[in-house]
Amino acid sequence: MKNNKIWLYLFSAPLILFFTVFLLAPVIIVFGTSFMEWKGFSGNITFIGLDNYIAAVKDPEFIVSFQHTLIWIVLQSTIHVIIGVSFAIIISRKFRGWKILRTSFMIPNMISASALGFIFLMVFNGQIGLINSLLRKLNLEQLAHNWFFDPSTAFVSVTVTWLLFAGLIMLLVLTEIGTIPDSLYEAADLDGASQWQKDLFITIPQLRNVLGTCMIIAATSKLKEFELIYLTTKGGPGTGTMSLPLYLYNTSIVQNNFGYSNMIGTVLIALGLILIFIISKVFKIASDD
Amino acid sequence: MKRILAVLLCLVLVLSLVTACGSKEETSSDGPVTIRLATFQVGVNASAPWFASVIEAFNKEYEGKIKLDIEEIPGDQAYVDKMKTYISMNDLPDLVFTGGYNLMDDALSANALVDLTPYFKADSEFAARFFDDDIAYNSRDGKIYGVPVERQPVTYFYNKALFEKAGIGSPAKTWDEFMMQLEELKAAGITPVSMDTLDSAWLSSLWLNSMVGTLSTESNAWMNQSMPKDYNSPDFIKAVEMTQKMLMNYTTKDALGGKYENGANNFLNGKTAMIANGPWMISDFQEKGDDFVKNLGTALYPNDGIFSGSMPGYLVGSKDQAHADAAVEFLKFITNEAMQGKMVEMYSSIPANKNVEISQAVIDQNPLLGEIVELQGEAKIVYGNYQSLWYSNVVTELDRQYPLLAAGSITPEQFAQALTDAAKKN
Repeated sequence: MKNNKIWLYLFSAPLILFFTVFLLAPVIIVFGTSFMEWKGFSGNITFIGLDNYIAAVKDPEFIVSFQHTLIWIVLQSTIHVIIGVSFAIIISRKFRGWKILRTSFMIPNMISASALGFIFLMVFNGQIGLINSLLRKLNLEQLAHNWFFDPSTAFVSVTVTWLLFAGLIMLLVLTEIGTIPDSLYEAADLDGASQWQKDLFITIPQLRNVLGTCMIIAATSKLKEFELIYLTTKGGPGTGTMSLPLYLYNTSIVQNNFGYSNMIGTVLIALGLILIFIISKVFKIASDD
Repeated sequence: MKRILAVLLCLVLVLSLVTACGSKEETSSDGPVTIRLATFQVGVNASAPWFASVIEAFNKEYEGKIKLDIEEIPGDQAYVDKMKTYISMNDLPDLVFTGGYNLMDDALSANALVDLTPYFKADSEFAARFFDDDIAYNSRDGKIYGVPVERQPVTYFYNKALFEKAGIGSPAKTWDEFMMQLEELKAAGITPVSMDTLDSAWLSSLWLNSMVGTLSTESNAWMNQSMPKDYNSPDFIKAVEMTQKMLMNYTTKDALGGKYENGANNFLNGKTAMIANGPWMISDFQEKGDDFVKNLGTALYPNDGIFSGSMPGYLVGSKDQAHADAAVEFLKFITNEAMQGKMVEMYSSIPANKNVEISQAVIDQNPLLGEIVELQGEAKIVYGNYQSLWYSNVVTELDRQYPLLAAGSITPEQFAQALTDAAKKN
């Protein structure tokens, strides 16, 4: 037994070292410097206690970024997950062509964010965009406009670039559905259950663990969503599509206010931990019952 | 045996992790000095062919002595962001092409720049190449930190045929006349001017800067100051009001959400009558053919204004004497008469080396360039441009405020306040 423990520590050593150097240490530095005034490149760092956090509460750009991030988290962990789960349940019936559908649904997840951003810039382009061309064909010219840069549609347009593409969720749920014992469905058949009843009372309850995992993946993905916003609207027009990751980038790379940006980083990490805790509790992930 | 193998495997994993974190060090002391050079003069950038020819010539002349390790970063904004990341990491390349952007102050605050004054003092021929105002532009507290490579007096270009169609005889002398000409062009069914709202809205900002720079003596002084913090002056707001009018009434629809490329293409395809830009754009005109070039004119901005030719030059971020010496050798090479002469011919830029005369033969071949040189002497008001004078976060803020201004969602006062708020964050 003692021997086994030594092996356990030995084999874990590289991973622990890697985790400590590349993840734990930077997180501790980010947390520590979030209490510092650290502006510019002079290297002057002064302890200012909670001032960065107090300034954030009064900063309208931080507040609007926080609100947008929360809205996107809620949308992603509900609508996005529902789309993925629904699609997985539908194609789990393995009707003709289900494999083609499954692969097609995964395509947006396989394309790089930069390519996807460019595609959507074209789709929503004010002049030659797909959406506006369709509207013109349908004699709805008056509705055609620049979707990403009109303040009234920018937020929705950016949200559409990721909300509907739930290929990863679909794949995870589909795999889990494959592990549900056939005997459960056979018993339901004997009881005369309809397909809808089987989905509702057998499939979905059996997916509890994976649903929780999917919600965590979906919610936390919005805590790091940067590329698609940066490539399409850069957080604009105004602060119309500003998010916490993008604001973090602006405060660090553009404003060189590293103390403040590390405060935003700490808020993002805290938000991630809270989300994981809540979702794990709600879905009782990894519990026996 | 299995245990020994397992222990070895663990050791290899841990060691590989540790060695992977080790720093990269140059081991060679006898070979050529390798210097890192970062630039965005690559890809579709108008200066890319000239820059490539400079590198080729330098490599040939300095083979075995200096080796260039070139980091190509296409796109101005991506380049500026990368350089600022390097500054924060204390890893600035030996040579940094600033290309009009103010990276000097950030790099100086990180103590990351080599003072080039001793090199200028040691080589009088090198020092004598440059105009005093260019050197002053690249100096801080009496020390030279930048070496100018070109001058960029920015005027605007107009399409003579479209002007004629609208019944306009010559470019406007005042801003009131200019606004009337916009209306005349529009009435003749012509989109008057190419503008943009993204990537700091270069085309739109040139008009805005010119208005601010020429409206009054006070606003001209403001437009020439470095890192202004207050944009709420009546002249600035008046200029924003005119720019908003232009964006909402006198430009193409794709200006909203459009970048420089959209505006440039519109002008190159004869869809707009005017575009504000520097002499480097002439090479794009030439690609459209002689007839297109003959149909173009260039003019001072109303009130006889022009953007100052001085611009931020190359910075040297070397950590030791050998690398700094090699970097300065490159700067002496790129600013020599041969390379500067080539620059005029290959991409219509005005050389920083004052010994290089733009010959009559070059002007005959490139009359627009000749006109710009002439206009430089005629201008009564000179001012700097926002990319090299304003805080970089204010320049970035423009990306978010211009679309709102173009859509009519904010007032000029709100635009000015948003820039003031951004500037105050510094």
